[in-house]
Amino acid sequence: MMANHWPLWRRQIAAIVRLEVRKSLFHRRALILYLLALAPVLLVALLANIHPTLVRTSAVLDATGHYVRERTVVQRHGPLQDPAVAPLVFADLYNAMILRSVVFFGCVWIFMNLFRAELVDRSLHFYFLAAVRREVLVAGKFIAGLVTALTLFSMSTAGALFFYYQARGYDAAMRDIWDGHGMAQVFTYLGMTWLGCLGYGALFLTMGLFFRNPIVPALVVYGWEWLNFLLPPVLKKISIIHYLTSLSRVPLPEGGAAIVAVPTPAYISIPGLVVMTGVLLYLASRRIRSMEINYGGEA
Amino acid sequence: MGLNERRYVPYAGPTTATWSRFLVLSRYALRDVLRERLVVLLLVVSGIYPLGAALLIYARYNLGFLALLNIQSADRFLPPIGVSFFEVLLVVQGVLAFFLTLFIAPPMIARDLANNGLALYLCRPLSRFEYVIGKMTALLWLLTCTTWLPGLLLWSLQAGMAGGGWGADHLRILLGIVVGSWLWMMVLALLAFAISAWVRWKLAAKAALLGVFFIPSIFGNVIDARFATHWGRLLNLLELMRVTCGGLFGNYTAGESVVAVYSNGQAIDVVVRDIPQWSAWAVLAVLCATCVLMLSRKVRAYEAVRG
Repeated sequence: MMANHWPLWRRQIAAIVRLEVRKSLFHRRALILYLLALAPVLLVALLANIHPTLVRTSAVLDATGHYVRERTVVQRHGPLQDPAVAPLVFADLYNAMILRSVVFFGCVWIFMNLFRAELVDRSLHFYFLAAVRREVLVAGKFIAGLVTALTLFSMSTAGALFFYYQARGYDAAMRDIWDGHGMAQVFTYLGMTWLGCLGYGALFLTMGLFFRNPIVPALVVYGWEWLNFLLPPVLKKISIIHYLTSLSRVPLPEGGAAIVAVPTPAYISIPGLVVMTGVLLYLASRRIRSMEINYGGEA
Repeated sequence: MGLNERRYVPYAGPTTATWSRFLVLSRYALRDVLRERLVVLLLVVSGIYPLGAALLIYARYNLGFLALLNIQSADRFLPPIGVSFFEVLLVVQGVLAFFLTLFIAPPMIARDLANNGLALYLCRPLSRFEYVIGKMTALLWLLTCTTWLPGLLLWSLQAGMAGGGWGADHLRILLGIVVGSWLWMMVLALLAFAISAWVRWKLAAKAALLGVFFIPSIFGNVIDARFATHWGRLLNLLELMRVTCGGLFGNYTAGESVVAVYSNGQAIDVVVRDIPQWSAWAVLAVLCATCVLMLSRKVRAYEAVRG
């Protein structure tokens, strides 16, 4: 009869997660993550509370269309106060700052560190000497990285959303959240952040195990994800950002040079990202089975 | 000689001059760096654009070559060789220099600090300053081959082929190439070394360097777009280089551009002024000073770690 290992594996994973989350969230190396997560919140807060004064001049014409004089108009500019453009502005901010910068670079930092940092600290052999299956170690470390990423970047997204709604005032914000599409929008943005952490996390964890110098592949992935709008529809599908932006409730204009592709429906995007994560974790587990430690080349 | 006569005899041979001791470090650092295939590949890639530019200059002044390509008028079919030509060259080579720095600089200093190897250097007649300069010189050598040296060669080629006092009339371009390249090289070297000294791990230092280059520029673009300003450009290293080098070439004026912003549901055009040159120089100066401060705090033989 086959023994049921799940209770043991669950306990082991829980122990690894506890250990790793403490290291990921409270180590000195995490400081850069806090700064990264805070940056978009600060910027949205500034945008919500500081309204730059715009001065523009226009010509005043008479009834016959002749120039009479120049008129100077002073306007207070607050794009997040304007309900007509605010969703588009926030979607743009979220896409550029949170999804493509904070989540991407944050996941590079968190998930590549999971194994590479152990090699630098010369402590990976402690895990390998313990009576833990290596697949369990991969699962534990991935969940720990995911907990760290989700905690930080969900807070970052929630903070940015808070200031986005704060810009419009309490009454208008509450009306939008409870009576309009606000709540669905909040959960869509949070969901995109979570799925981004899941997909990028699995990708960079696997890269960290396959490449001694994962910066080069990370750079290639970064370029690929940024140039996604230029790719033909078939190639767009070989990226994470395409599935994430497909979930957005506010379609973003991608510029004149972009090749337009039909967004992938949520019922394909979400399971697709989950399946991709599973495949990448399987590859990582296969890789770690035959992994040998060589501390010599790491520093 | 009997065993009892053996005793300590100090070295009496020739010694390296005090001023050039840091070059010993750069020699060994350069040897280590050039063992990396990726670095050699990047060096080769960094030669492609100047080679193409040299061919262009050659083609402009060679009637036989123009006839071979069936080009009637060089002015109509080939780009003019002037300030913009050399400015673009500097930007392209500057970007390649960044990638070269990304792969070269972090291991140079992070390994020594991570493995407590600095004491082994500093117990010899080398100061902390000489240690940093020694390592940096190796990097600067390679960046020289990527930035101002090809620029200088191309300027000389153009001056030689154009004749008629072109060189004397365009000394400002030469100034832009040399001073602009050195400015960019020093910014890259100081930034990479300071980050490596703080992070002490080459992979993390590379990631941080990449982040410092890309993330602030994205945030800068967002600031520019949403606040209808150009001050966000001060967060973009490449933009800072463009402004300072443009000034050196005499090709930058803080002009005005029209930006469309939305206000009360209406798209309005707003005139936005470019950033002044002094602001770009000031940001680069502050950045370099911060890096020097970080290096002086971290490049020490021993460090007391509390907690």
